[in-house]
Amino acid sequence: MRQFRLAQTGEGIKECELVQWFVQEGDEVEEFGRVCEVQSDKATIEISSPYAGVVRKLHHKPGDVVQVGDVLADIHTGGDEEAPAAAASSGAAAAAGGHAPRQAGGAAAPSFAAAGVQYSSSGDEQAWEGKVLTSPAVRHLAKQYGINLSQVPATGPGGRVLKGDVLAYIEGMGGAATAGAAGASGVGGPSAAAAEQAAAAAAPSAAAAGEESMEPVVVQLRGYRKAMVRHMTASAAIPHFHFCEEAAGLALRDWPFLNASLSADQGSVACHRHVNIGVAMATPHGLVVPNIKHVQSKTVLEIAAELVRLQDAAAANHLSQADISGGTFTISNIGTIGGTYATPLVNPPEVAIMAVGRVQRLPRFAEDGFTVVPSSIMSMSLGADHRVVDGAALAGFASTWRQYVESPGRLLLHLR
Amino acid sequence: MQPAPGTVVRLLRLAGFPILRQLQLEEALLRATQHNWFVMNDGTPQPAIVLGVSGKPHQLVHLEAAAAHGVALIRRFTGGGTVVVDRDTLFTSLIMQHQSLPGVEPYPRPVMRYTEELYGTVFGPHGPFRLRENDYCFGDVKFGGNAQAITKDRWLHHTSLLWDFQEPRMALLKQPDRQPDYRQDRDHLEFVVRLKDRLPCRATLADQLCGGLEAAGFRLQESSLAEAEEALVANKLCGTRQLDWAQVLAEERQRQQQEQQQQEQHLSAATAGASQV
Repeated sequence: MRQFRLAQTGEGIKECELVQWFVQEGDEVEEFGRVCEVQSDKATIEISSPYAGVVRKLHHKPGDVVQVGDVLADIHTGGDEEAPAAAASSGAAAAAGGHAPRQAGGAAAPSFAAAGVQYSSSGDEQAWEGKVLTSPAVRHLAKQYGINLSQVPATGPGGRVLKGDVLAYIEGMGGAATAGAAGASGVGGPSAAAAEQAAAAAAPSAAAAGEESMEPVVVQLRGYRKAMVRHMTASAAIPHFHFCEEAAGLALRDWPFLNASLSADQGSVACHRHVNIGVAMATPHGLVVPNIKHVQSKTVLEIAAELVRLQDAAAANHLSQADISGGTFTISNIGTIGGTYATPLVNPPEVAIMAVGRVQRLPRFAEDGFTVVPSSIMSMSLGADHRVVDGAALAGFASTWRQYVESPGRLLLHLR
Repeated sequence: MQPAPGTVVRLLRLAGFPILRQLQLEEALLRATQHNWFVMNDGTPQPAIVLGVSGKPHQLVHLEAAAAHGVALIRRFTGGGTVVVDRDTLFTSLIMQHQSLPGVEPYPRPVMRYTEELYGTVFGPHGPFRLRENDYCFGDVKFGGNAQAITKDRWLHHTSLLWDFQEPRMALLKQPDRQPDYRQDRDHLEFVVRLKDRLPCRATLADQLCGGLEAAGFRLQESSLAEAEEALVANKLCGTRQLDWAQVLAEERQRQQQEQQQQEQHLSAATAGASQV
C-alpha cells in the first residue's frame, strides 16, 4: 500500500484546496494518471499519481484544505519491487521553496523540460529495505530499456538511482555488447539473463575507464533502440554514406585524438594508427557494430564492398571476432529515418562519434548574395569523450570532414 | 524565455461571444488539444458574474440583488476570485504546452512572471504596469484579473480586462475575505480603474495584444471558431457551468436557517451553563 502525498505545487505554497477527485475508491489508476485537482494561487492544478494501482482510500473531500505533505490517498500497488517516490508529483511536477530542485539528479519525465519530483521527508521513503530508491520517471525509463534497476550503480543521495545512472548504464551495455553469435560459441550467445549480468558487471568499468571489454555480451534490444538499429542498417545501402565514411577516415588522420582510446589507468591516450569505422547493424542475436578496417586506406568502392560483406556476415551469423572488435570511431546515419540532427552518444572505448542526417533541399543565397538557389544541406553532429577530446579538436575535425565531403576532388587528392 | 523559432500559437479572435461558451471552449482547448492557443474576446453580450472554481456564492456576491438585476452566475474551471463582466470587458486566454516555453516552469508564479512580461509590452507604455498579487494594475489600481489552470503537460492563463464597467454592477460583489494586500480594504470602486481612461483606442488594443505575442517569438496562425469548437466534442471534463439562480437562492436560504439554528443552540447552551454557575 502506498501513501500518495501532496507535493509542493509552487514557490512557498504550503497548502492547497482540494477541488475535485478524478477517481473514486476502488478505481484503478495508471502511473502518471490524473487523480485530483487542487487550487492554489488562483490556479487549478492537476495532480497525477506516481503509482499504478487501485485507489483504496481518499483522505479528503472537495473543499478541504490540504497541507503540503498530507496524505491525499492510499493506493494499493500490488507489491512491485521498486519503491516509487513517496510524495505525489503534481500535474506539472513539483518545485521546492523558490526553485525547482531538479531532484534526484534530474529524474525528469521525458516530456517535460521543467520536470522533477519532489521527495517529502515522510517515513514512507525510508521503508525500501533492499528495494531500489528512485523516482517514477526513472523507473519508467528503465522499463523502456528493460533495465533491472537493482543492477544500476546509484550515485544519488541516499543511494538513489538517478536518470543519469540509468543512461550511463545503458551506454555501458552498448559499448560492451557485441554479437554473442560470433566467436567462441558460434551458435546463439549467452542467455539473456547471463548477458545482462555480464553487461552489468562490465558496463560501469567500461563506461568509466574506457577500457576495452574482452568478452562479447549479448544485450536484448528493447523498444526504439530495436527500431533504430533496423533503420541504421538501411544506411549502409545509401551511397553518400560511403563518402561520409571515406571523408571521416581522412579527417581522422588530421585529428588523431578523435581516433583514440583512453588507457585503463587514465594516464595515457592511445591514438590508433588505423581508422576502423563502426556502423550499427541488427542481427538475430542483438546489436552489433562491425567496423570497416583501415578506412583511411580504402577507396569508396572498397568501403562499399566491405559494408556489404559485413552486412551479409551479420545476417548469416558469421561475423568474426575481428569484424566486431577494434573499432576506433563510429558513424551513425539517422537520415534513414528522416532525422536531420541528432546528439550521438560515444560508443566506448571509442572517444568520438558522428551522426549524419538526411540530405535536405533548402533555399540558400548564391555567392552573389542576392540569388536564392536550391541547395543540398546535410546536418552533421559530433559527440565526444571530453576526457580526451576538446571542443576545438571537434570543431577542427568537423571543418576538415566538411571540406572533404563538399569537395570530392580534394578527397581524391588526399587518398593514399 | 523565448520559444523555439517557429513555435505556433493558434489565434482565435472573437467579439461579443458569450462568456459561458468562451470558458467552456477554453477548457476544451486546454484539456483536449495539443496546440498552443491565444483566444481573445471583445465583450460578452449579457452581463455575468463569474466565480472561481471553488468560490462560495454567498460569500462573494450580494445574491438577492444580483438575481434581481438578472445577471447570470457562472462558475469557471480555474481558481481565483470573482469578476463582473459585460460588453465592455476584454478577455484574453493564453494556452500553452509546457514544452513550448521550457524556460517557464509550469507553476502559478512563474507563469504569471511570464505573462507580466508579455503584457508589459502592451500596457507598459500607458502607465506603471505591474502584475500585483494576481491583478494587472497601473500602480495600485487594478484593471484586470487573471486565473490559471495547470495540467500535466499544459497551462492556461486567462484574464478579464476592464475597458469600462458599470458601477451598480460592480457593487454586486462583496468585499472578499481574502484580499490582496495592496487593496488595503478599499471598496471595489476605489481600487479598480477603467482601461478606457488610460489607453487611447479599444480596437487597437486587440492588435497590440497579438503583436505582443509575435514580439515574444511566437508565430501566430489564425484559427476559426469552427476549428476550435472541435475540441468541445473531444473534451470529457467540463468544470464550467451556469448556476441556476433558483437553486442558489434556495440553498442560501437553507444555509442561513442552519446558521441561525446553530447560533440559537450555542446561545441556549451558553445560557444554561451560566445559570448553573
